[in-house]
Amino acid sequence: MGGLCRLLASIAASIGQTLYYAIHARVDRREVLTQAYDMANRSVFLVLWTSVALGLSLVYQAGLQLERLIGDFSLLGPVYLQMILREFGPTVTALMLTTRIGTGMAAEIAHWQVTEQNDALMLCGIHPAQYHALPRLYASVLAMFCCVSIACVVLWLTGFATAHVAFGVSADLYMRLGDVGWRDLVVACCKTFSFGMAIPMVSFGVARLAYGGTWGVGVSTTQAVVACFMAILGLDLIWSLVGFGAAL
Amino acid sequence: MRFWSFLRLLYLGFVGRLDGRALLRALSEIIDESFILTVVASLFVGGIMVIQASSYVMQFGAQGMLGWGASYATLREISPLFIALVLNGRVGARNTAVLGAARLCGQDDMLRCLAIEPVACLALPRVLALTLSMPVLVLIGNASALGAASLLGYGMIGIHPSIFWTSVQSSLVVWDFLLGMIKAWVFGGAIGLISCYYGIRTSGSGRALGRSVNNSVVSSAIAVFFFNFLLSWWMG
Repeated sequence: MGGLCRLLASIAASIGQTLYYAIHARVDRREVLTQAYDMANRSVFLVLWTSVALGLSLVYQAGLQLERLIGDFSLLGPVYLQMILREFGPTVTALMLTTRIGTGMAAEIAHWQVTEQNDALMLCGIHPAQYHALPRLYASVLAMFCCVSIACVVLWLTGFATAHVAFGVSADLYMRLGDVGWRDLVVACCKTFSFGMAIPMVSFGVARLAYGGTWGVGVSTTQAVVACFMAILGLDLIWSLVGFGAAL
Repeated sequence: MRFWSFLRLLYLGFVGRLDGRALLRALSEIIDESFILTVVASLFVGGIMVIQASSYVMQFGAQGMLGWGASYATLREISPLFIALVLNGRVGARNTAVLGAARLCGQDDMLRCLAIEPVACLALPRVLALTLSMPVLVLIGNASALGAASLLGYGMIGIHPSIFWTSVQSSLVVWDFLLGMIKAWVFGGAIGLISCYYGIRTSGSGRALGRSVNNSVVSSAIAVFFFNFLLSWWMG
């Protein structure tokens, strides 16, 4: 219990410090763009693969249920597109980006922590949050928007391929955009933005507690992945509640 | 070491002499450290699924369908998938790190000197434990997710839990539940095999260990999505 409290306090401190430096410190734009490119580039294959696999299985399952219960596929495309925007696009992409880049971030910062390089930074008058977390914050948000956009398009297109091949749904019936409102887009953007912010801040908060050499780096990396997953699911629930409340 | 050699050594260990105590220790470790995590993740999943289902239930005025809307995708897809991803980050990464560290320190060579095959001794109990514990954890996760969904459905749109559970019972078949369990079993096996394989084949320095852990988590996630698609498509 004490360990969990320490972890939560460190994450809260990391959020506060990063947001403070986001307001008060300047950041190297070239560094941000380089990191964003690197993050998106390293994750794009994983995002593509998971989107294809998930798009195929989700639409197949939904089609089977519609066939069994209603026998009408006119809802399949619009409802699936809403679900992609509200839920699957941002959340699954964020989980994959955590797996890909969150682990790397946590390992690198934890390595700096256990080798006392973060203390050396502090002696030079640079806060580790400003040095590690701030450029990664902007880069992660940028990369997240790129990857979520790709994932949504791929999910939708693989969904169409499945619906067409398995259930004979035509393009006219599937690709009806009228049912998707601006609220769905706003919820998708809010989720994407908050997930992009959560990954570096949570990873930084967890990695700052690392101790004990390479073993500590490993433990910290594992904890960071789990903490990021929990943060993403928690934020997902909060934004879904907000979106539902706004729709009432 | 090639993957086929790794599988062969696991098989030989399994048909030879499986260390029951090591298996029990690995099982209790996984359940012990993943129980709370699974419950918390499942509460979130249940909440998210009922919120998404509620908007359609209210749009079409079909209050009696909330249980079906929230539970169908949860049991068949989302619960096994999300719990597998969380356990991949937790148990899979640790398996790779522990086995990789043992290999970097030369502990595998020491075991060979004692005529003990490291794959059978270190990897086999972990692979079996993950394969056996995943369905149990998904079962716990399903119960938590549906419990949270029924309570949140009552709190948000006033649909009584009894109506929710009646909808679950009347619209779902046993196969919906079993498919999720089969998926959990396959995901557990895949994560166990991949994480232990990446650990056993680690060589070089501490940096290589970090790379192994990252590759293991990513490969396991890819495998989980691949098997999810395959089982959904094949078993319907």
